[in-house]
Amino acid sequence: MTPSRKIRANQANALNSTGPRSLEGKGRARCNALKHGLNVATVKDSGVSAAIARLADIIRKQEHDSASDAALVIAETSVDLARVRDARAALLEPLFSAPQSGRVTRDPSAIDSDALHRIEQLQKLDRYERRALSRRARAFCDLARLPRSTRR
Amino acid sequence: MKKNMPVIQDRIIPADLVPIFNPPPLLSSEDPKVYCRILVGLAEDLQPVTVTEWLLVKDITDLNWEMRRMRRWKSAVLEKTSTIAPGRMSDDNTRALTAIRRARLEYASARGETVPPAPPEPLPPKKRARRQKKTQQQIDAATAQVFRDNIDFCDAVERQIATIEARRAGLYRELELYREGRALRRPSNPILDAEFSEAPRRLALEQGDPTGHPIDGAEADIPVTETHRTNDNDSIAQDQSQSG
Repeated sequence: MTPSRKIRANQANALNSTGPRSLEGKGRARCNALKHGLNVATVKDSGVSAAIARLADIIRKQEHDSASDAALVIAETSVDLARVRDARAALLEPLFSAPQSGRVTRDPSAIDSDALHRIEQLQKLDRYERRALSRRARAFCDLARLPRSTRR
Repeated sequence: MKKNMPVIQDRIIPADLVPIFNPPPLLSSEDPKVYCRILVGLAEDLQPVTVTEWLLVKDITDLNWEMRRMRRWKSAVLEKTSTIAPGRMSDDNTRALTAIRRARLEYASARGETVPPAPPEPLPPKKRARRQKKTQQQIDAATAQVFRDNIDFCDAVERQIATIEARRAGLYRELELYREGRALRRPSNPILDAEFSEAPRRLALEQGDPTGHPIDGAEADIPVTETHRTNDNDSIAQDQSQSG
């Protein structure tokens, strides 16, 4: 069992810890571990959830009255795919925006390893795209299974 | 920096969908007009009608663009690592020599070395041809060397392109299946709607109501026949039970 003296010492030390104190600082620190945020469900983002709802509504009206679930998934995955493609573009942005005029500005092997590193990152992003595409494919199947008499 | 679509796209894309298409996933060095031209070309070719079809067309455009970008990247890396850019050499000897000279200067200045002296400009034809041949051989050797040095990178890029291509083929298949399903439901729906509205009205007329308004509970009294089926499986089962 931890002696009470040690507990008190720990508590006193904890008061001196150097974490962020202001709301802004806490907000920044909250994003420390954020890499791309593609694992977060899109509907939880209030900024895009309205756009998803609007798109889902358009799809539902065009497809089927009772297809709200499938329409929501199609809308959500479309936004997910857009996010993945933005992340891929952001990954390549520094490479393509660098001046291309000087042909030998860096050590060739350094260019190679940097390029390989970025390729690895791109491959990691692939799974998010694959997941979104298969979710959407399942939504299409659900749409096809709806009763024929009420389809438009 | 994100760029919005040029005006032309707003004219062909349904107004509801424009926010989904903007901004396109482009790099700051990429031209949105070229992206737009690809999108317009695909839209004219595939003729999307519904929102779902438009979303698929957008995805196909994005994947096409990514493949294009990967190829550009590969060529940029190969070019960057080479001292001589073979694609930029022309048949004209003078221009070729100027390009080589410029490349040498850049290479030497990047390494902090002294700049070699410039070769004399006018050369006799035979000597010029010999030098041109030698230069070409050097370029080929340099290109091969660059490719060998970057083989891992080239392999990874090619694999990435193959993945994107497979995904694009999947999207084309998805679009085709979606359209097949839609085409099947379109002719069947008017018939089914007509059956539902027609059967109770006929029954009301038969039972003596000249206005043709369905009588309360008329629908429940209608014998289940093939003309007012609600579901294909139900009607098939009903037909079988009647025939049995």
